[in-house]
Amino acid sequence: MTEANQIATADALTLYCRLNHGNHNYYCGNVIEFTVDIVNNSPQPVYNLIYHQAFPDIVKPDDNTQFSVVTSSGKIIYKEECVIIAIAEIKANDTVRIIIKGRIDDL
Amino acid sequence: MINKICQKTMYRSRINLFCDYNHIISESIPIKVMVCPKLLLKQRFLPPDFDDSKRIKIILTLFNYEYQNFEKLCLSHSLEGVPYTYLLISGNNEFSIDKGVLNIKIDYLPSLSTKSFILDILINGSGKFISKLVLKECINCNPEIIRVCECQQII
Repeated sequence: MTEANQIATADALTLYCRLNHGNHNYYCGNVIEFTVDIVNNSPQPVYNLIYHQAFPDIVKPDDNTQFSVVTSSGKIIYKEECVIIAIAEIKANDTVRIIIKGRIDDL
Repeated sequence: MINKICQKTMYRSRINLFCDYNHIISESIPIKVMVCPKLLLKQRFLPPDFDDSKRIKIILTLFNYEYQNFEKLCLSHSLEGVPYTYLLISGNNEFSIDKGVLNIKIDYLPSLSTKSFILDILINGSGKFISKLVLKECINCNPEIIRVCECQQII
């Protein structure tokens, strides 16, 4: 696991994402794990967030039905073809971490 | 331009973040996947002879499940864990043994076909060993690994 890459910033929020293969290189059958941090940099809380992540066809849920999803805050709404998480609040200067595990399909 | 059998393909996973129904972040994560064709390897140990348990036979099989022919492949076999000697390699393909590694040349593998080889090996010891089979393609005389298959056996 390598250092997280900051991939996007909007208003008070910064999104970081890192993969379990630091070089982003995978072979068919490999486990792929996304660790996403949503950081609230502001002194104010942020409310009503919806996180949505879509995957290419080659990334499948680990057990073929649902992605393995762990979140430090919020409610997992959906985790089959995509992952949707509703986060009611991220406190000031706080971080929500989401870990999603899937598998590279063996074509 | 050299066409490699295994191709690195780029895919993307897209992340969207909404705040109060407003779309605030949209980013994609690149994922590079090495995609290889369906060329599968299998190994099968035959039961040892009653009179000579140190002499083992292994059937190696290569399956081509693709609607595509392949050229310039090489199947390498070796044992790890015990000293050994190849006694007989059955099959019509050219082969060589270099530093204990058997290399079988496969010039042409038709689509939807299989190739099998039977190895007769004398084991000069006892214990656990690993039979390692590697399928490679040759690009400008540089071998590139396509598949690996390992089996463990105790003698």
